[in-house]
Amino acid sequence: MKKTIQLITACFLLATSLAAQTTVSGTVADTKGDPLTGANVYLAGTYDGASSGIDGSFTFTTGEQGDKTLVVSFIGYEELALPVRLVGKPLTLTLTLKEAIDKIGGVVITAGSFQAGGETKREVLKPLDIVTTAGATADIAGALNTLPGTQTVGEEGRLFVRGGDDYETQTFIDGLLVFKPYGTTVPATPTRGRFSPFMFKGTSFSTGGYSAEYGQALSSTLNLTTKGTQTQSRTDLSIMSVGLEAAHAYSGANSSLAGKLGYTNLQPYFAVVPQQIDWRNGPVALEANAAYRYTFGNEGTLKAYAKYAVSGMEFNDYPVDAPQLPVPTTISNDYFYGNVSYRQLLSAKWSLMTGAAVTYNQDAYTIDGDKIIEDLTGTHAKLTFFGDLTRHLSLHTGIETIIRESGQYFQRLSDGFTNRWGFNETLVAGFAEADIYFTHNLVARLGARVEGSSLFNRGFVSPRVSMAYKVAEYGQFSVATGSYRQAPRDEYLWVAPQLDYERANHYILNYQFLTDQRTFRVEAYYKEYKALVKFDPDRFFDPAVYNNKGAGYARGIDLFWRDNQTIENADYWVSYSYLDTERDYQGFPYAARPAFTSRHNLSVVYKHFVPAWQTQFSATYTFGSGRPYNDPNTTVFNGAETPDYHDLSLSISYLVSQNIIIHGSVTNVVGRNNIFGYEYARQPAADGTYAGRPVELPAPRFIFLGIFITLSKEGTLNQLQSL
Amino acid sequence: MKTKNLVLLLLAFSLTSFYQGGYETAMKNTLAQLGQATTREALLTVANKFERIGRAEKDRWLPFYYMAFAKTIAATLEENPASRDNYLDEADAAVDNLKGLAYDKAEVLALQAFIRMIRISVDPATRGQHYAMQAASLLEEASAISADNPRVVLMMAQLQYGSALFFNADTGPACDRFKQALALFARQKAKAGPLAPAWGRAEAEKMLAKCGG
Repeated sequence: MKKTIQLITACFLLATSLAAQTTVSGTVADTKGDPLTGANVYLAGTYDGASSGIDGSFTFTTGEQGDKTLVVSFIGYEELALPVRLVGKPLTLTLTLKEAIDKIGGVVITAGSFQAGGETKREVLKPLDIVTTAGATADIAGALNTLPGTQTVGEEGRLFVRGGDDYETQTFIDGLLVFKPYGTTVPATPTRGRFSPFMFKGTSFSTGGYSAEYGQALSSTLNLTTKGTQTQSRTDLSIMSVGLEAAHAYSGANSSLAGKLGYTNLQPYFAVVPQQIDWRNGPVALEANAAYRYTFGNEGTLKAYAKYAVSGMEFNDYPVDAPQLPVPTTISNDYFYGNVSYRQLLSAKWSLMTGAAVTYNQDAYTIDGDKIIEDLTGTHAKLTFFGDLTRHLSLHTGIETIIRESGQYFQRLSDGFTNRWGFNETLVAGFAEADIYFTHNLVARLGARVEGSSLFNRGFVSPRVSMAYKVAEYGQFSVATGSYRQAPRDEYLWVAPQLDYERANHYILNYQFLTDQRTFRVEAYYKEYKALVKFDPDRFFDPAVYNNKGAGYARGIDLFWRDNQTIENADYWVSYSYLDTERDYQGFPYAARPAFTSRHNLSVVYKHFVPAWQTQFSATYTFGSGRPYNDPNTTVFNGAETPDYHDLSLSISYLVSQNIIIHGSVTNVVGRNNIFGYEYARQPAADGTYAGRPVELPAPRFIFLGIFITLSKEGTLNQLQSL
Repeated sequence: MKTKNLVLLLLAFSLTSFYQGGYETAMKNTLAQLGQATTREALLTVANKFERIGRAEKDRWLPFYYMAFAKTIAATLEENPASRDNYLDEADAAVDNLKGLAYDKAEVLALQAFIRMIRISVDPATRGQHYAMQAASLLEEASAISADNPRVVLMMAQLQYGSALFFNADTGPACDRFKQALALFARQKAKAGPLAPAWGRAEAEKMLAKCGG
């Protein structure tokens, strides 16, 4: 019994000694010595601890004894674990936290790229901007054409980036290549992107210096990220002046399935708004889209998307050589794009992405009985890994293959002559890219791409390097350089398979100032082109006239300013691009400015939301200085210049109720007759001069009106994002 | 020998209950501090305290739940939109700590919906749709688990009220929901003990007053 009492006493003594208090105090500061407020300082495994105050100081008492671990944690800093010995005597500590290399809030490489995502603050254009920009007519390329680095080529509707031709921009959906991303159209009528902007939650548009992940693009990449799993079932109906659309999304526990049907018919519109084209049957298109998403817990996401579209049109063409004779022309297009991608979290630090995409495109033309059929089948498969090797080093690496078959069939009515030419290509590529974070403010990206193609029977390495240095909380400089290659246009390879890659080198210097509500960026660049395809257009059918002896350069300055802070409920941006470029390629006799370039481009976009009226007003003004064209009546090639281009477009969106929106837009409200160039007869007239006529839009304005209705269980969803 | 065992057992029991009591007491004290915290700094200090408890008590969900809640309330007191996002990121990170623990799913879903709704306030025009949809689906899930959880109903009412205001629509249905939430708050019982989430009543009353006016 006595022993027991002793034991119990011992226990109490132990308990008492447990209660002996040690005071732990000190300060928390960063490596510069500035105090950190709000850091959590505590003994691991206990509740004992404190938050650091305004001056970084903390103090707490603990009953713990002996060897313990003191933990100091603070968001944005590396956690500190410090062994301490507690013996009842006050402990004073000076703690220093190292800034964690924060890959989200810290420095990022911005040279050349414009991000547009919905969730971070870093983006320059948000998805909603793409659809509410007046003049863009809810077309992705249309909205991107208000950013610096792009050229206003009003009769094309495609992206022309920094002196680059339209084929120099490649489009990707979820990292997978899209062949023929634009619809087929008639000459001098701007095309539209095939993909609706509201499929996407993010847009990354690069005007140069892009990652080694992307090949086969000389000037630019457009990477579109599709939305994830739909979280609510909904039905959308759209009644538009150009057609009808119906969409339904079904949302399940871990998956969603969405489908959309669209019917476009421009004939009623053309009946009301006269066109300069002699339409026999205006463009009619039918398209079906399906998207499936499946989420495997938090670790994996499967995305699948398919699109099928058919379109056709018939009109009479009046060639400049014989404008009095109508040439009956029909154009039809069949298009399929399918894409499956899978993303998996491998560990806390590593992820993989794999996917494959297939494009099939067929354009069939009948011109005065002659038939031309152009086919393309392209497959892109890719496997990439990305993750952090250490806190200071991230790696992004992958392999991909592109297999394509492209050809043209020609059949002449008069003599039954037929011809087929085409090519197959298997391309295999690998890339690796390391992001090295030297400090919170300095990052370098070193990458290289290795590519080999069956077409050219050889491989090559393209190095790419970029760097960013954050000079202040909101300001940073970036530089980028790299070598880029791309196969020549399909129509040249059909004829001349001996052609080699075209090449470009980019050099970019960028400064960006970015706050929550304002963005300013200025970017200077120099781009040199080598091995561009040259040929004699008069003998385009002869492989012997093709070579890779072309070259060129483009240099300029791009400015961008966006502000949605100064004026309440308003948002505006201004883009200006200066471009100096010449190239000697295609059928050019010597180096000259290409016809799609203008020296000065300016866009001013203004949007104003009036809450009381539930209405957004938007206006876009676009200016492009004169573009060169070749007048065969003069001696200088591409020596003539068109008048300047001006366009003022307006749009209005009215929220009738929670689920109904009315949207209207008009391009070129003043009806200015913009001239994009001149086309000339191939043969001179009797007096020795070549007859010419201006290239203009079929109608000066494009008017759009639509009603968008959304039906959902809660009744609160709408198609705001689709406008 | 027997006595020794008994003593050890007693000791073990008293230590456990000491610790048990330590958790309850620490949580009660910290909850009291949370109730009195009116500044961002005070809320972040309370959040740190919850974090310390959470790190020490590896199988309890409430410390991280309240940590996330405190950070969310701190976000509402932050003027700078970007910093608001940072607090909300921290709140989401706190909720991530619950992975693998047993917790009241409806409560946590309601809190996650709350975080989404504060995120909308950073940039309503751009984010409204995206986060409102996320919040709606979180609440749908929460409601399927516990339709009479007052915080779930309160959040649903808030979401409905916000979008009715945005679209100039009738706030009547949202106000009815606030009434329903208030009734549920009145019937809210201390089912899971004094530490269980009980916040939201004052907000429901405030909103109902707005509805009346």
